[in-house]
Amino acid sequence: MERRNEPVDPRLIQPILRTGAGYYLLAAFLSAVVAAGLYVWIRQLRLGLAVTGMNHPVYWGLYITNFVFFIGISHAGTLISAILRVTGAEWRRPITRAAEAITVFALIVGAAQVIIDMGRPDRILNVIAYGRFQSPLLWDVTSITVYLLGSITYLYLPLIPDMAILRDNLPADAPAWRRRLYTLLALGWHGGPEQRRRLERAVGVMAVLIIPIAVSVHTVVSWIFAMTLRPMWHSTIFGPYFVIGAIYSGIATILIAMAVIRKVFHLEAYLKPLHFRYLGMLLITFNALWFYFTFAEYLTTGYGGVPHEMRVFNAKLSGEYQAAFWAMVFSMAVAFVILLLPHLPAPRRVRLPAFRPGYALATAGTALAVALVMVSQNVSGATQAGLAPSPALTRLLTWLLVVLLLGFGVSVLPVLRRNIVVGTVIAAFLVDLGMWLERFTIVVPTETRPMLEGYTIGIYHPTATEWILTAASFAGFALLYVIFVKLFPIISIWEVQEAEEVIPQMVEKVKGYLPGV
Amino acid sequence: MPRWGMVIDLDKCTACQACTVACRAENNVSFAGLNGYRRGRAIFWNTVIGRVEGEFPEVQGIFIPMPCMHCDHPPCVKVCPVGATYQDEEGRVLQRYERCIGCRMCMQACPYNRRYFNWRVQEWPDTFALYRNPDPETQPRPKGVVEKCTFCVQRLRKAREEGRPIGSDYPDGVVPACVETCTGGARYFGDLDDPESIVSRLARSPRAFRLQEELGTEPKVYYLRPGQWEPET
Amino acid sequence: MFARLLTEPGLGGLIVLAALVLCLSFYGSLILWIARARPTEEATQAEGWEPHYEHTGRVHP
Repeated sequence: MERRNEPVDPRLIQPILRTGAGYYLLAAFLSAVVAAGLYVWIRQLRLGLAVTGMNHPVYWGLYITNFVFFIGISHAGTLISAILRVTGAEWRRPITRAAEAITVFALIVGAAQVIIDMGRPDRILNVIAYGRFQSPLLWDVTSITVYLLGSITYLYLPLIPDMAILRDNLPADAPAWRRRLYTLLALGWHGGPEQRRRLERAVGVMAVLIIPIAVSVHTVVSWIFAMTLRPMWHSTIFGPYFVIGAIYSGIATILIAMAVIRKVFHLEAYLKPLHFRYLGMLLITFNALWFYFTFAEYLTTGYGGVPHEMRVFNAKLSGEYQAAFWAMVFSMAVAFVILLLPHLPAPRRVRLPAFRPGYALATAGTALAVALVMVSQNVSGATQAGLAPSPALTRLLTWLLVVLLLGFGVSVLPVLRRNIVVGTVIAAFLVDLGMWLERFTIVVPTETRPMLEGYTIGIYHPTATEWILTAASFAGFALLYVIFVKLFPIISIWEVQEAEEVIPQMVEKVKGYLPGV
Repeated sequence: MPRWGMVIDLDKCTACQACTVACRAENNVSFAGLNGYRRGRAIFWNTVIGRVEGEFPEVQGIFIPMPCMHCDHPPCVKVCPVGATYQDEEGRVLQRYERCIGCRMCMQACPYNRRYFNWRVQEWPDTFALYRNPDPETQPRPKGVVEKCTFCVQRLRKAREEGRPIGSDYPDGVVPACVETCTGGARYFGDLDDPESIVSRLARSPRAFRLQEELGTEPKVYYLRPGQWEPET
Repeated sequence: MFARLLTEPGLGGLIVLAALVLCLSFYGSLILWIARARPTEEATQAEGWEPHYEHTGRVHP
């Protein structure tokens, strides 16, 4: 091993040492939202879950939706770090830490959703004292515990050399607590060949181990639903479906995180268009996989035509959940198109319209107005008095909205095609939105259609408490992340530097693929 | 050990819902009020669901009183993470209110939707204070736990203590409140493991069916199909 | 018999605790294994890999 004396790029350390007003403002804002969440949660503890919109028969609502969503995006770290590491994809190097951080924080926030949803969180230790392993909830607890501990380890191990770098290179004016923190976390790292070998070995072992653990986590989460007998829950496809969906939303989340980090910390040299391109290709692959599984599920249900399943099926496709369902499909479809654009051959005969800001603004503005009209119709006093908006008008407005959104899409096509970072990140937002809607349309509609006929259809209107706690969960996740980037380098310094050493090995590897060697 | 079951004769049921009210009084089931009912928070250990069959003019209303089915293969017991819901030696599916963590998994598992959750602290109107049941086993359940029909476990316990017979086979046999109150005499209670008990005999009737039998839950509440009335043997 | 294992209250809790202990031991041992690696004699000279951050007094992008 050569001794390396190259200077560490200050850009990688600056976020830790220098804090601008923007950071404090953001942290304050996020903390305020989290505080609001804490307030309504304590109120919920006092008054009971009656402060939510849950009822008989809709026993689970937004909290469980959020639970599944957050555990889902925790697959970001596993995919990027572990699978790409195991398959030797060198482009993962600047992304691994950001991804692993998402995993840890998403798991923590996801687990918090369970506490929020429980009727008696004060009795949570009963799960250990009286735990029955026949219950899918116990599989959940076991799996998530193993995954959380594994993810923390998998985040920490590759962090050690960076801790040593910080320990040895902090400027003299850095606060003493930082010095102590990095010295402690560096575990006496000296970078000797044996130590490096051990680290590589340990990280390699964790990378291989964490993949089946992660697969088990979201499989088991899906089985909370699939092990019941409810229509459109009791489906054998749930295990693989949820895992695919989780990896899918995980890739989208890492893309969003990357884009923010890149912009805010001026890390364009490290997080390059090629990273967005490659992750974008993974995203479109999982988009296609997600469509495949969704199509298989709905075709099987619809073709079979079993009455109690069809009641749920129709509730989603044409009933009161159609907005959520079709918005989900639309989001995923638009994401697919946006992700495909950069890979399409340059048009020769057909010329794409140039970006016309006028058209974009006009269509977007009109679409927003239409959407507001539609929403206001549903919440206006007229509706509460029993005067529902005419279905014909609603249908007309919906189609108008779709046309406007398509028009908007066409007018921004050139931008999306040219700028792969912008395009991929917009697609990622759509994917995460679509995946949240997917969790919602899985959890709620089934509950509103009890199997036994004769029961009235359930109604679920989430209350302010639930929305505030949802917002607080996202804010809490972001806040944890914001604190993380202030303490630790968000790009793995040593792994990026190590890439240089790896080049000759890679040349040899490719030569080995060719005949005559 | 007896295996307690129930038979409900849908031909005799008038859907008067006295069973629902009696159950409420016997077990101190809390009140949700009109607002609570509209929001889907009302608790009905026994409920009567109505179903309309057929097209006009060949319409028929079917009313089905439903307590807990006390299944022999209870899906709710299977999924409870802490064993708060359990099946006792006499076949009843019961709830340990002090252990329940309120996860509501059992409620999702029940294919009959017969389990209820305490979304808030239990409440009763002042007038109800006059006829609250003082029995310790029927005391108010705390908020955040699941509850449901128990086949009036406290009545059977008291009957044993006082040496009184249990079941519809006896003229003054102790039975759950819904069975005792039924104005049409449509409900029967007894030991399904005694082949001569009235519930066993009625369960063998060609009119007998159980709800969602195809699910394999083995419910212990049998229904007698409405239609041709047969005199009891 | 195996079914009894799965349905008994408390045993599930033991399984969770066992998983917890197993994880903590395994992951912990990995971390300790790395921490305990001794530098070789030549570590003070050419060998060893320690990037050196040249402090210029101000951090500039």
